[in-house]
Amino acid sequence: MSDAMKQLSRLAKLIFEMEIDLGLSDLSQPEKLVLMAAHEQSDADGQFQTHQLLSHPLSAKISRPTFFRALKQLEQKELLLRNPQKKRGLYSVAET
Amino acid sequence: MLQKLKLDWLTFVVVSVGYICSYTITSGLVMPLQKIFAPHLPIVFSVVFLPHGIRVLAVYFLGWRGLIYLLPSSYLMWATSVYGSSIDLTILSPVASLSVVYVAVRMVKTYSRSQNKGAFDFAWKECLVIAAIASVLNGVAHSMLYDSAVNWILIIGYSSGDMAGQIVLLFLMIALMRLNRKLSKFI
Repeated sequence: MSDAMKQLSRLAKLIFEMEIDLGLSDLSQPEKLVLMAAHEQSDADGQFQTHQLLSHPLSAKISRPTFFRALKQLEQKELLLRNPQKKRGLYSVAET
Repeated sequence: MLQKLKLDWLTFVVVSVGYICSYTITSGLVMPLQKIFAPHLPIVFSVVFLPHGIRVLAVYFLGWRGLIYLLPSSYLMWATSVYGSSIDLTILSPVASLSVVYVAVRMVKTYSRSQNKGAFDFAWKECLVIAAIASVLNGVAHSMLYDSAVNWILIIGYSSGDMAGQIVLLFLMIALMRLNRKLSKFI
């Protein structure tokens, strides 16, 4: 990825976080918390493991069923992507 | 030379287009409305100055290179204001505005790094704090450039206009991203 594209991607992330943080998105509260935790925990390639989110302060207080429902909803909305090799618990945040 | 400084053309084009577009909206829409609804305000500042947001975002993401990317478009827009719209802007105005943004970014990033887990939970909040500090410094710098003394009307005018510009720009970007997401579903 060129430097310009990297910086644009960081800018898009900043705007997207603002949209979620200010409650301007059409996501439910658990979805917002899981997505924000995912953005914070993701590495340089945007990847993260579900166990990282389960221990993250933003999403740790959500019950397990609600957490996984939110994760599934975010996957359906194409905001989180499951690892293509179907490696268990490995996701990545979608480019916003 | 460009490679030595790690500058690239695509970033230059994106930053310049962003700056020129935001300046055009400010001078073509905001300023005429300001003249109608607040004719008593000096025309050297705008009540919503969108290019301040572009400056802050460029320097925030690109560091000192952001200043180099912004300089040509800043002087191009300065020239259009001075020679095209007869607005009496001093030649040092673009340099002052860019320098204060860099100072504000360095101040906030240094403070943020000194904190254990960073001072801000989200980058957009950090950007708003930078914009606020830079807008006050910009107001003071321009007050000194025009009056060689503290001119509170200029300080308050520049500060509030720059800050409002940053906030409006971020909301415009949210709106554009939402529109982009909606349109991409149909394509």
